[in-house]
Amino acid sequence: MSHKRGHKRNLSKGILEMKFMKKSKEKVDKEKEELESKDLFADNINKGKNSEGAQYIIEQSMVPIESLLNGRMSFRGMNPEVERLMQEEMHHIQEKQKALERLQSNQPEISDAEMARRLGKTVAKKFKNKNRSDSEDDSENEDNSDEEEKRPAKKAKFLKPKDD
Amino acid sequence: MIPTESPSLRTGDTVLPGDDVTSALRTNDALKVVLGPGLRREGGQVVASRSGVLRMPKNNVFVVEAYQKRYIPVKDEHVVGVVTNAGSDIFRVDIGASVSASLSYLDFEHATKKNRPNIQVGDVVYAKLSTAGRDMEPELVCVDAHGKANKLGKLEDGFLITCSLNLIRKLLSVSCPLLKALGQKWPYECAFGMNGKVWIKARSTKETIAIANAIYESEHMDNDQIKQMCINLGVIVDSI
Repeated sequence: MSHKRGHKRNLSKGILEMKFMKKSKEKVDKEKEELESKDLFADNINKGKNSEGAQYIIEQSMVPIESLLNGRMSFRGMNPEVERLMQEEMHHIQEKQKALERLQSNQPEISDAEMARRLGKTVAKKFKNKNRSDSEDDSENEDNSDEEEKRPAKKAKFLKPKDD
Repeated sequence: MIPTESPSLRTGDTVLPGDDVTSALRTNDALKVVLGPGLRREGGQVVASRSGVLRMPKNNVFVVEAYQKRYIPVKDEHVVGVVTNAGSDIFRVDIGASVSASLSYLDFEHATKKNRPNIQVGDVVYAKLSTAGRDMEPELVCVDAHGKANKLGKLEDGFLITCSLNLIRKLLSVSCPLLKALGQKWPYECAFGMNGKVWIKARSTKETIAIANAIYESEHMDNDQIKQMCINLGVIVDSI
């Protein structure tokens, strides 16, 4: 049963021949072809893969080995479009480097102090009344006593009327 | 190819095609070894496929370094090529490899079957190799995975020069000061192909020639010499 469920239901030949099924037919054909070519080359691939070979990675390009830059460049506004892309690339590389350094120095991405500060704010929000404005948030300690007085008054508005 | 036994080889030694370098690649840690250009796996052995010096540019990465002018296509590398023939659905592009590469006219940004890119024979393109194998013709594309040009495509005007592959690698390394130093002197645009072709576009002929010469001259210079050359070049060109 379980293996039947995993298998996709195949459409019959007659349906696939219909005009509106063109896309599905192409898909089915492609899948079939892939499966066939896989079988064809499976032997070759297994021949190349032996236990010794697993320890090597083949990289025929010097670009990643020497971490070379992209060869298309522009300077001092000759081609603004290329310069924009260059800047984006630079930014990307720097971000990567920062991430790598962080990883190597074994420091967490967000320090404990920052986490405490951020979480302190967001969690505190949960326990606060949503209707209050930000200005009141800043002076929390002073307002606390006032809030408790206000709250019952507000809640009274939403009390369910009695059923008589 | 029958690999010759040579257990005494070490990093820094000269190797010839067919030399068995397996023993030289043994490192103490159990990390995987990366085989760079010039090395090939034959069964359980690693064999040099070109003559040069066996080097380890990074930890656990091995390459055979050699002076090279003939380009061997590698997938995902960026190259500069000249369109030599425009067929009905593909362009032939000379990238300096053993065979010319093919570039489909649909592999350009905004290109459709009705909207063909405006490219003639003799135009220069900056493209990326989408397939490259030992037994197959290399194929180029001028779009990235998202269908955007992203720096690739036709290079208008400008000047094309050819140099060694080693020089390209030297100039594109992060530590090389040449391109930045020239950029401080004059506004210019360039495209360096990993195949040794360089396309330059500057404001005037004088500047273009100066930049081309600076690129050629920097082949046998170190970084300090390159910086000095750029200063001298600026003074000379301005005085002409």
